[in-house]
Amino acid sequence: MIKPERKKLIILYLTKSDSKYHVVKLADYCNNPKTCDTIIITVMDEVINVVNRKESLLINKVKRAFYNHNEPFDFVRWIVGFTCVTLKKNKVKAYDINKYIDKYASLEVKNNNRLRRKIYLDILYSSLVFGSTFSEYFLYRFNVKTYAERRTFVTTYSKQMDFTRIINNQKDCEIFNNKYKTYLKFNEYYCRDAILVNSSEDYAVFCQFVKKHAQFVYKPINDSHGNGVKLIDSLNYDCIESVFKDIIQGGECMLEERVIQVAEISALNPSSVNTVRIPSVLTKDSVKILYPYIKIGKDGSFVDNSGSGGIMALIDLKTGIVCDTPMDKENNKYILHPDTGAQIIGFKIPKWNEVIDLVNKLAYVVPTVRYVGWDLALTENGWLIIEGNCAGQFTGQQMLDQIGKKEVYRSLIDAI
Amino acid sequence: MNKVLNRFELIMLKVSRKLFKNHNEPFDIAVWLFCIVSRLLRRRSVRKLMITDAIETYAAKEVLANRRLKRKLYNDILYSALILGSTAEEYFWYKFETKKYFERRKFLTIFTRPFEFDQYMNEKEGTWIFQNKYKTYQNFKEYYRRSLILLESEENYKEFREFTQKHKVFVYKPYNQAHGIGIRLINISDYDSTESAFKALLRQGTFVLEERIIQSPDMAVLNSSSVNTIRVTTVLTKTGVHIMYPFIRIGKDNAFVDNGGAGGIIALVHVDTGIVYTIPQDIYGNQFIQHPDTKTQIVGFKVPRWQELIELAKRLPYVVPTVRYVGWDLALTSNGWVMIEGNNGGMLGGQQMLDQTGKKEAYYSLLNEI
Repeated sequence: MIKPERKKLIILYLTKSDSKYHVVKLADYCNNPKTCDTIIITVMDEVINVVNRKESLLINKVKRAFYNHNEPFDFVRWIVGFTCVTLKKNKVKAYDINKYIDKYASLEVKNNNRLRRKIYLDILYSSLVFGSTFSEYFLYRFNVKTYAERRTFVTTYSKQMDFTRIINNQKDCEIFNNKYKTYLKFNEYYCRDAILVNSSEDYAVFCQFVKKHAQFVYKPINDSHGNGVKLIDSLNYDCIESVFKDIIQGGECMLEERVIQVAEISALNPSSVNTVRIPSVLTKDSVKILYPYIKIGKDGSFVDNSGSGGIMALIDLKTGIVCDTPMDKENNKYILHPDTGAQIIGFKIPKWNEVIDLVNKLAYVVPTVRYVGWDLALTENGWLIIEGNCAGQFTGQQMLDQIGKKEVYRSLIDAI
Repeated sequence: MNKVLNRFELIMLKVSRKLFKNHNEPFDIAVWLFCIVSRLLRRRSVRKLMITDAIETYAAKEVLANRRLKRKLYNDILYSALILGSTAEEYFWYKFETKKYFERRKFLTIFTRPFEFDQYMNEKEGTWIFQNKYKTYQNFKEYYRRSLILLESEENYKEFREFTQKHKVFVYKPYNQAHGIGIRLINISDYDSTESAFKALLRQGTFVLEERIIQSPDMAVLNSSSVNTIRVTTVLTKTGVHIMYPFIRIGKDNAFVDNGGAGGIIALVHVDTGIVYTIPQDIYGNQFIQHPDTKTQIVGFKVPRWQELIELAKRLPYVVPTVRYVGWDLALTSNGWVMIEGNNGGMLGGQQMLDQTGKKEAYYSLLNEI
């Protein structure tokens, strides 16, 4: 549990900083005291650039010293880590790096105190110098990579390279952050009904919707990573009113018609809608499509997001073939789907050319938001949008083939 | 193989291992000093490593243009050659430039193997059987399922005539060559007479003639110009036969051999299912989702009759039990799997390069079971 004073401090920091995304998110959740604590914890995990002036001076010096493909000596890392720990004791403690070490590190490291301390300092150091979050450190396997190689990765907080902030108009990003606004804007590509439920006034609309679709998908309006998304069957309830009461308790949300995907893709995992994530960048003269990957849910889960244990695998852009070993965020590799036994590697996405054409069209709908990661699903009637993400999520792209994509994205900034 | 490691370097190796054992990275200065010393003292053996050649073929353009980075890369290659026993090619295959030293140490490299691995795995008397192609044939006749003759001098002309009468098209292999060098397909009708053919072939030294393998159409789908083989590495221990990281090898550009050295495409195959599960690539790092000539999809390809292959691979090591670590080349004909050859010094290049994971731990843990 977080003390109320610290809570205030964080909110103060967030409001001062230019990170609008977090402010919007936090303001929503502060109205809802139940989830407030958990949200603050997750924000704390991610807000590493709460670096004060002393630290940033130190870091700039270190960066300059080691820029030319040099490795920092162990004792430099130690001194930087040590100074940070002593200067900002409480903050570093609050990061809870140990939690991540317990979650991701190998047994050898967990049991050996010396190695554990070493990796602790390395995580701290690379979060300060490269702006990587603690989970990114493990997902990109920074522990085995040289510093020159780590520098090639796009990390969440690398300041020189805030790709999405430069490339996307922050005001128009609101269209993508709010799921219902996305629906209104991209109505023709959704190919399904959706309604916004905000207050008890929406009851009439809701009744009409439920009459048409007894089963529907519930999505919190501003959330990502598949949090809170679930399938609701109104037949399980006694009456429509009780369904409505349940829904309205969770706050503002969107209700959607269920997507029925084609048999070929649902064979991979029938319980979830398995989507293809295609990031696209709108440049001066064309749409550039980068590193698409497929996301497949595990048995029983309704969403395919990697945060919920989904399996991801890179797709070859030319042919639409799943070409690299599928894996999940815990670094487990799967040749066959663990639950259905379907072969994922080598799977050829049906109607691949159509989806590429669709993305080429989609990118022009909101031309000020140039980088969007599209989630697309295939139904009998063709491809449709599940959602668009404009906040840079580079984890999947870089984690799957363990190659840093910073240079690729940086070169795209010039091409705008 | 150049045995670059002499006693001096072995001592250096031991000292530096002790220094850098506990997940420490060597300082840049240490690498630099070490390289200067070894270049001064062991000038000839350093030259034998042919580092500059490898840099020119494998390194990125950016590095080649920048002299400072190039010198740095040179030192790093030399250092990891002497400390970790990796050749200059291995350095690039395993992408050592992106890996830290304690990760590099997980790879089983060519020069450490003779001292630490092969010595315990294989007994010397047995290895002769595999280095000599004809002796291999004599020992593994039932698994070859085809005829093979050895031709040394002019006295062997009779055998040659008999062989060519049976088989008009056959495979020519130089006697003591590896990596598919010199292997080619010969059609006897290209020559004026049998006698002139014999003389022309004998001029290049001792050789072996083999009946041609007609591979099953299931495998020929991938590439028909070469016999596409599966390399299965087995380790025979007390507990049984361990099958280690099999991979498929496919020829390209109408080559007759599928070896990695000849530009062949390689990809790891999953042991339990027989599915190709890594991105197929050649040793220069070019990736091929589909075969460049036939356009057949390689990744996700399910090797036909996989269980039969595993059963065969579990029987083969017992023929010469003193050689415990062998890489078998197996091909599929319509009658089942046949053996092409066995390599007692089977390279680990392919296995470790394809998924960029060091396999030292996996192999060394087997040393205890022998």
